[in-house]
Amino acid sequence: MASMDMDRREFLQQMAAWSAGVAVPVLLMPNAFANVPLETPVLIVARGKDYAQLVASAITKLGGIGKFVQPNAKVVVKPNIGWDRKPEHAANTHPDVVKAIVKLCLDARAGSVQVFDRSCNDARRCYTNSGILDAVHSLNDPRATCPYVEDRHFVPVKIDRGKVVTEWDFHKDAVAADCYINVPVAKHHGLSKLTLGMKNVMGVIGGSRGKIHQQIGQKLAELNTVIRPKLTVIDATRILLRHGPQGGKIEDVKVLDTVIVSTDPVAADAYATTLFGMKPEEIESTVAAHQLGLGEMDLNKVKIIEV
Amino acid sequence: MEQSSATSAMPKPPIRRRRAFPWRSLRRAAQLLLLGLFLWLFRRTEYAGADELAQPVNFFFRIDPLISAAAVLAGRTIISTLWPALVIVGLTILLGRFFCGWVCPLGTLLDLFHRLLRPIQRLARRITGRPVRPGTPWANAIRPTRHVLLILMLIFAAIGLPLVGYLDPIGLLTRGLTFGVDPAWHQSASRLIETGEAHAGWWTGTLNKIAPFVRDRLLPFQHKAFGLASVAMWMLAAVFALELLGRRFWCRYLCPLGSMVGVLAWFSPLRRVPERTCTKCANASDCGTECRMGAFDASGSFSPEACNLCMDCQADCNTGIARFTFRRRPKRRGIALPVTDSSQALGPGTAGAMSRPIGPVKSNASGMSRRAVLTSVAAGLAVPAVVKAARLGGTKSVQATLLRPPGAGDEKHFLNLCIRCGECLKVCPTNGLQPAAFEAGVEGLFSPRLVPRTGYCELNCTLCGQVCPTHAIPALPVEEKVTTAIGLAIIDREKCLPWAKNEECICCEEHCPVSDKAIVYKEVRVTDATGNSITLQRPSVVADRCIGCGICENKCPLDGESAIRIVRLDSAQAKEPEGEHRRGGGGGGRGMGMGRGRGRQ
Repeated sequence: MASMDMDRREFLQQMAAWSAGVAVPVLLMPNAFANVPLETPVLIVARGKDYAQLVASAITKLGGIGKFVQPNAKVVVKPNIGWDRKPEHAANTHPDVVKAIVKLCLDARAGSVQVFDRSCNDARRCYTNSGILDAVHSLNDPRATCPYVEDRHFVPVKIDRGKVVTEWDFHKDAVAADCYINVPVAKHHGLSKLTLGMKNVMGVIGGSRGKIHQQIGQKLAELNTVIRPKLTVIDATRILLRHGPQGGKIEDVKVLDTVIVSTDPVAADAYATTLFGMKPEEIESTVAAHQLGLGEMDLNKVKIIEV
Repeated sequence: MEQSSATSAMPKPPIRRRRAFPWRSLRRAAQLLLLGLFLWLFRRTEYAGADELAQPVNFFFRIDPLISAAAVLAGRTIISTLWPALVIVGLTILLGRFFCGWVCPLGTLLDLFHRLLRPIQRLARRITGRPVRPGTPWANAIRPTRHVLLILMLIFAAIGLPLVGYLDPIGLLTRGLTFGVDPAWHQSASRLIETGEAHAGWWTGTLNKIAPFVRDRLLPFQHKAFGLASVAMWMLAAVFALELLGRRFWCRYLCPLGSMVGVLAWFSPLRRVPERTCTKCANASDCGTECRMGAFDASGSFSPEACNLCMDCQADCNTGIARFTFRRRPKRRGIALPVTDSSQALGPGTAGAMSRPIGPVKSNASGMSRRAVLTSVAAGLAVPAVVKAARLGGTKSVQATLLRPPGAGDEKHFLNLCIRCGECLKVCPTNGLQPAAFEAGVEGLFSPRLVPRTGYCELNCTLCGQVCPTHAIPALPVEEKVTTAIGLAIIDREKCLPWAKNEECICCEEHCPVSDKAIVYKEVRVTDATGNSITLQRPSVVADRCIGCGICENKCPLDGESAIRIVRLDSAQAKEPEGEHRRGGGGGGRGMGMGRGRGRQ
């Protein structure tokens, strides 16, 4: 409990100290670090119509939610709620997927489960029309909340491993979470080709996000050195093939009824890329994240379990 | 009413009869209730989780007869949703000027302010001498002002210079609250809470309990900032400052809505009796000097046109003589009105002649002579011409970047109907709607314009059309709104990163909400700043798809002015070719070199 009660400054100090310590070996031997994973990453691919069931069985297969969420933990579930679109438009994470994850966390006796995203359209419209606000509220548990992201939530964080981005504002609760669960939706994106787990970090950073759009792959990977999800759940129940990331047209949506779950964010992105008929190395952020040692992008080195 | 405690200590006068109905308490309750309703509706003037607003947040505008009359005159059309104003007109003809005393939220705030002000006012009285009272020479001189304003405004409205909103009390108050008070309240309250939260102390427990309530219920959803905030605030502050000169100074001498309901009140059969100050009690003529509306002139005659039925004189009368009662309208040719011209108001000796019936209104309690009426009518007809001649900046056409809310249509028609109430600016979820200063000429002051760099037009949002009391912004259904073009996006290739600097970007394309996107890109091989050959996406606009929502201009990552800007559809810029995707084709294959082409603007 003591570690949970530490204040922001203390946390940032500790984090800076921790990152600085890691930065040294990483700078000295980046490739060695990346190429020697401690264990083979596991990736669960679950297919089916009952999305809540998909999420539950995939996480069970990975060892159960209790492995990631300790009792009383502060959990942040980060879906994509970026757009004022309905669930069927595939622009936001499916509410059923979000709800299932939140429910698992609550059942694991999490202290609090916050679901939020810094949206692109009006936050209230996004939260409402994505169906996520209602989904979380329908659990009727005071521990599960859907707070709106405000300026006051952001704190500057030094990115010690960053070469292109060395400092940025991050959502303090995302940084301080005991368990951060990344729940992106897989969809097309003009600039980065696809938006997956790595790009979902855009929803917990402050500042002018347009300034991330130059060398976006590298910048996203560097931002992801700050926010390290314990679990990545990629929603590919339906994917947006064109006109992303906003979408808006049902004809651009393909229903796949698939959910990808992994503790390795890079492996999850790499696998999701194949659903679009693309190769993992086509996505710059995947390559950059792999080079930074954030995970494995070679799917041959990943243990893929289908459920 | 402050005299009541003093007088009640005196021996009970013999003529006192049964306890009168507590009309004054009822009036106070109604005032507070309606002020509460006004403020609640003001707070509810935001998106609240549904496309349609649950409350008729523009209710106070819809019961406002002045706004309704002006809008109908200006638009030359019957606006059916303004029917509640007719109810107020009917009730005013029946009851008199109750709107000012019982309903008007500005009036209630002035009454409340007066209570705060009493000590200050006592001081002011000492400095300036007597407060402004009816009957003093200069009070008589300014008395016709509100009638002049009313006549001017209605004529202006009819001939195309809608000024009603500037001085209409509901508009004045809503604007002041929207532009100034609400953002200031949000800033100060949220900063206070944040500071409290940042430092632990004895307050932490309580603060954690009340902070969510304050944030969710009492504060607006987000901070908004408006141009002209200080102007709107000063206008409102001036109304309150005038209270220093006398109670309800604004209502008595300036308010055009007060003038309008006052004129209607002439017909009301509900009258105070006796229709003059009486001399039956020890505090003779108290009802005259204490009347907040100055409804008794220097000679003591009562004018129903000024009385706002506050019921003070009835409640404070310790003889029970003063009361309000329905009387059959006297059968006379003209309207029985006391005369107050200086030539006739000679003093107590002539009091008997005061309430004599007069013929066609020549001069009355309002001090408005026929000549004054005719002069203001003439001025009303002349001023718009002068203003048009003095129009700032405007020569032939409006500015290309002057964007109106979705569906606003023809600029002139829009400006005629718009009452500048600020409701649309209050409700706009992105803060993109801003008051125009002089971009639309002098007569466009405070009219709403979309400033995409501040906030874009949210695709599926129809709130501005829902709150507009006069339908200057039409209430479009969502399906229609999403295809209603506000303007057209134009990319400045001299500034746009992929065009001008060979840098990656296309934030505009990413955010474009139209499907298929109105911003498309073309992949080109270029050499970047470091000499590497890279693939780059260069955006351009498909004019036929663009609805000018401005999210592209809003999200463009350049500092300061955006590299993509929305222009009016009727502007010259909208008709110039930007590149290969312009309306009417344009040559394919020559897109690449366009970025360097100068002199296009």
